[in-house]
Amino acid sequence: MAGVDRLRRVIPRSPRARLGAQGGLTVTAAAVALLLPLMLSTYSMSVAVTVVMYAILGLGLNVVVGYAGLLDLGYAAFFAIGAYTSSLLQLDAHLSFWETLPAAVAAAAVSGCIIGYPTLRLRSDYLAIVTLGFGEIVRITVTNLSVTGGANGLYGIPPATVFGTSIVSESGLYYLGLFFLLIAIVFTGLLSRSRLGRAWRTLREDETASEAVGVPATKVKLLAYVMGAMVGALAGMYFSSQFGTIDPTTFTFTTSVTILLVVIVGGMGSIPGMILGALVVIALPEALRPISSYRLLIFALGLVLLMLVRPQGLWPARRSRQGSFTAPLAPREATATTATAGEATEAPAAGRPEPGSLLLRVSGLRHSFGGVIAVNDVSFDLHAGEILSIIGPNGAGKTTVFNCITGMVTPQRGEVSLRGERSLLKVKPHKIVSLGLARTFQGVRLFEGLDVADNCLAGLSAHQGRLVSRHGLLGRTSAQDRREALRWLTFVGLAGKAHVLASELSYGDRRRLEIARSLMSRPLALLLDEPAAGTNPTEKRELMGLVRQVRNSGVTVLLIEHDMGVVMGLSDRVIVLDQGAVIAEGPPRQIRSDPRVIDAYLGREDHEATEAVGEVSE
Amino acid sequence: MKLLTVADMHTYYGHIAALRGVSLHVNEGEIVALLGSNGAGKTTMLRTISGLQRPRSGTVSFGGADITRARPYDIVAKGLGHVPEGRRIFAALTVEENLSLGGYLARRDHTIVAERKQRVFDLFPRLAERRGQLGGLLSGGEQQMLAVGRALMNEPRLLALDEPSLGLSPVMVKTVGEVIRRIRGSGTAILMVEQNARQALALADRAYVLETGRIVLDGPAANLARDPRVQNAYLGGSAEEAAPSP
Repeated sequence: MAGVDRLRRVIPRSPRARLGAQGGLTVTAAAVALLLPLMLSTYSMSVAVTVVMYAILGLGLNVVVGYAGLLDLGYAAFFAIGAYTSSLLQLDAHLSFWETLPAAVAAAAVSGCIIGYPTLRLRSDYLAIVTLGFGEIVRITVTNLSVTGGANGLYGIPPATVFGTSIVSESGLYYLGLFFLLIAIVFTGLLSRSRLGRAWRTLREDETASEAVGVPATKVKLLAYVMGAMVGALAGMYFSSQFGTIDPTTFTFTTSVTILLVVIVGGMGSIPGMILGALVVIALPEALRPISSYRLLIFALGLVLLMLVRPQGLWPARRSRQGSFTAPLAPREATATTATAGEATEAPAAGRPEPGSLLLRVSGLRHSFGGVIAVNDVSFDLHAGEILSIIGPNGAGKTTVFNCITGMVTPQRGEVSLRGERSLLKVKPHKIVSLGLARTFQGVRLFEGLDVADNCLAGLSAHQGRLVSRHGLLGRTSAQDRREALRWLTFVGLAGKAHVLASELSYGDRRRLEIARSLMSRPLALLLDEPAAGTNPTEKRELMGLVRQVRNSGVTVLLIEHDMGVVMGLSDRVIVLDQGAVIAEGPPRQIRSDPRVIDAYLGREDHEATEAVGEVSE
Repeated sequence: MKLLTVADMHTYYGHIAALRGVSLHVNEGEIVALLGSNGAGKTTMLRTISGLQRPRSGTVSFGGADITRARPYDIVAKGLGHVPEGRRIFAALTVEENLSLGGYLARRDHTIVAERKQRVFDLFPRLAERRGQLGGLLSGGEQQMLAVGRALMNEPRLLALDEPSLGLSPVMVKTVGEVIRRIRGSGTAILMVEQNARQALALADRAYVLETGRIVLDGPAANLARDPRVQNAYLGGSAEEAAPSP
């Protein structure tokens, strides 16, 4: 206990001390794990083998549930597919244990695609039911096929061999398990730190915002199933080599639930949590065996109690360790915050369209929601290098126009095209981001549980559709990525807050972060939806400065805003929408005195609003 | 006569103090504005009053009763309505269903509920046009109207408004101002948080200015509107930099 107390005192002190303590803990845990066979009986060793296996399964399911936030109630299916593939190849094709490894993992990956593909559009509860069904289908299939031995299963599976020695003893199996566990830890640990890992976390936080910064949501979700399935297959192979026999009763719904229990008890998203979770879920009932008849009752009560006391699990994932701005960047931050304005405002990308040329054309756009026409025959052009504002009464259809342009809504009629050539209709939101149109949301949508740096880095997804390439999903955040993020954070004035959790930012900073995040995709145009809503005069001025800076860096701006001071102060041109249609278009001064605009938008009787504009802007 | 009294309120989020000893009051039939920058504690103030956030210390009394530790729904039943930050309308329900839920406490009397709905529709004709539409499909500004309308369905004695004009067009901001005056005209007191200080001070009888969890200024709204400290911080006093280039 004294040791634990000392640990408690050390952990909160500083991140470095915490890391040190963690390193020490890892070494101790590894040493205990390696020396365990010297201390335990054969029976205890067989329990240890099961613990290791469930830890591997937990790590696999953790990818799906913990990283990507997708509930899976049929994970035992991948466990089964790994076990059966490996066993059948050993028995029928006479391959060795190790030779079947690629096939077992590949079979699970393919089945991950099969389960993943049709379920991608589903959310939480529906998804849970579909995965549950998938688990049952796999179990029933292997129970009824003759090639899988039906209800009797397969037997006579040869043990795994290492350097010519068959692994049959409990301690031998245990070490084999540790080897697989190590693979699973390294694999899922690398995934967690990869760009894909970050994409999963953004998806878990806010799917719409995630797509809006360019995360290919469908592909990324599918990859969660595939990666999780691959780890499950490892556990399956390991299991089949333990007993030399497998049958369908191992791969039931109860197994899936037990694995889920490991993930939840351990702490979703946390690697050490999975090992701890497996220990509690598997070894604890065994330890309670002396009190035979009540043991499961006590175990169940213990679980209920644990969830009440620690709903986040025994060893919850810590965001600081997932953060991508690690120590090496810290010293540079100080210099970056004082970087010259010129450096920060240099044009983001080569190949910018000629200022004044056609960038985006919207023509004949029409869309209705349940009988209410939101957008009715809207047409306008956006020219490169300008700031174009869309104003209009509430419900005039401004945000719907944004949603149609950015692929969040497919308009019922009309056309949206980039440079008058490439149609953007029916193009996925993440693809539109990579084509150069980035957006922010009314009311700001950040990934609340991620820090500022990770929020910003999520915006890089626009360039990482591929799995393996320099900017591929499987890669780690490179120094170049971090420089890029830091550059845009500096641009908006947030470089000093890279490690702050998005949810802890002040309102004005949240706005800035959202803009920095959308600039990460190096857009041709930035679409801002009511950026000044809820800001005070000081913040409003800062925001106007920032928008001008964005434009000066070569990014065209399309702005929806109600604050007339902001609209009049920033815009080159203004479009007025009313009841879904464009009623006026022109330079700000002309718009301000247009009688139709005053009627529909500014209010006729008194010119309070326009006077206020005068006070703010002149 | 004092309707709401908050005395020496301290509210924390974890270890971070959001309110550090705030005292304020709202009289019957009064409009009181709460001003301050983002992060000053205005929203926390409203949340603590309506029971959504527990204070660490201090008391809240409403209509003579201590409601410091009362449940949010009991506080609503006592006649304190709250239009929360971020609208929080029921996206999967229609406009009319949203209003019906606002009148939950009067649910047994259909005529009263229908009457109040009609009153909300009179205040916001746009909601009447959209009565069958799902809340989630309303535009941002329409959702704001619905959130205010929903709170009115309970005919509160005090209405706490968190940025009622957020996301509204200039003409709609004026309408909301008139609505607030009409609500007060019917005897309801109002405590409003507003970023639009000009509008808030034009409407309010009195105002408080919050800064990092403390009240730094208070007094009649007309005086505060002339106060240079308020002008600089919240009315856009030094707006030179904001001026457009031409």
